[in-house]
Amino acid sequence: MAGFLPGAECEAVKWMNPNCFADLARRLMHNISVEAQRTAVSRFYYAAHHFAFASVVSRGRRPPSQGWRRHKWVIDELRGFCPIAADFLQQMAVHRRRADYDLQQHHDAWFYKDNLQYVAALYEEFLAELKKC
Amino acid sequence: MKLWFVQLEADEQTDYTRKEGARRGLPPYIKESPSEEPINVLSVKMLERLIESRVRFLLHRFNASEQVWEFIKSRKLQLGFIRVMEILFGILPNAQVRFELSEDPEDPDFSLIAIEVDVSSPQEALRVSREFAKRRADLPDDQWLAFCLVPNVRRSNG
Repeated sequence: MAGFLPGAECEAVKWMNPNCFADLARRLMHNISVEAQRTAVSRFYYAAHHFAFASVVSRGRRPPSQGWRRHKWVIDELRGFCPIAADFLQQMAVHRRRADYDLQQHHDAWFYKDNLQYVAALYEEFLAELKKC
Repeated sequence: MKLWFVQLEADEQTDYTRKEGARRGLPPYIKESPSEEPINVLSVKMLERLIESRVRFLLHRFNASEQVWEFIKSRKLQLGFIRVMEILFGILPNAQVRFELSEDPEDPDFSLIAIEVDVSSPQEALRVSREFAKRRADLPDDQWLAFCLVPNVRRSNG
């Protein structure tokens, strides 16, 4: 994971490459179905999460053994040396919860072109902030 | 919107002064001269009450659910909430806000209050997010982790 750089080319064989998650998200956000748009938002978050995770681990921090609890841990750790990026990641985590779990139909309205465009831009801002740290 | 919660609560102060006067044996019609710094004459308990009333006022104003209040109360985040809202109103004075308790089924410890605000464009959403992130960076950990801004780009009519 640590070998992947933001913006590096996505290689299909390396399925955990976060760049592939982001590529998939960019393709899906142009799809008209709300299911695809929800998936796009979720993939943007995971791309950001994996980059943040790699960055935290590369600073010698050890992740908790319970993998599912890493969402909060990564944000918390990232805040220690990159607070703006951590803020953006926390926000993407909330978007992703809506995308993956908040499946009530009236919430579908949030997933539309302008909000997707914003999430895509937030992901790029997140990467830019992470690079500065 | 400014949240001058101490200075707005004149009745609370009067009530406090009356009680304090009674405690010190003064007849009820003799009032102590008002302090220039009202915050100094308020006990911690009074301040807590004032902060709580401000929190409840804001939650009520924006139709927050009781769940949101319970979350804030159970984690003693009343002051943090006021601070976060002050930051938000400093960026968007007329913000239209919705509160939502956001829970992660994959990580039960990772619950927070999502503060959704309407913005006019993706560019404004980015600007607000960046400004909010900068201004709240120094909040204590528990207050920082418990709240999250979520811009919502309003749909245009066209």
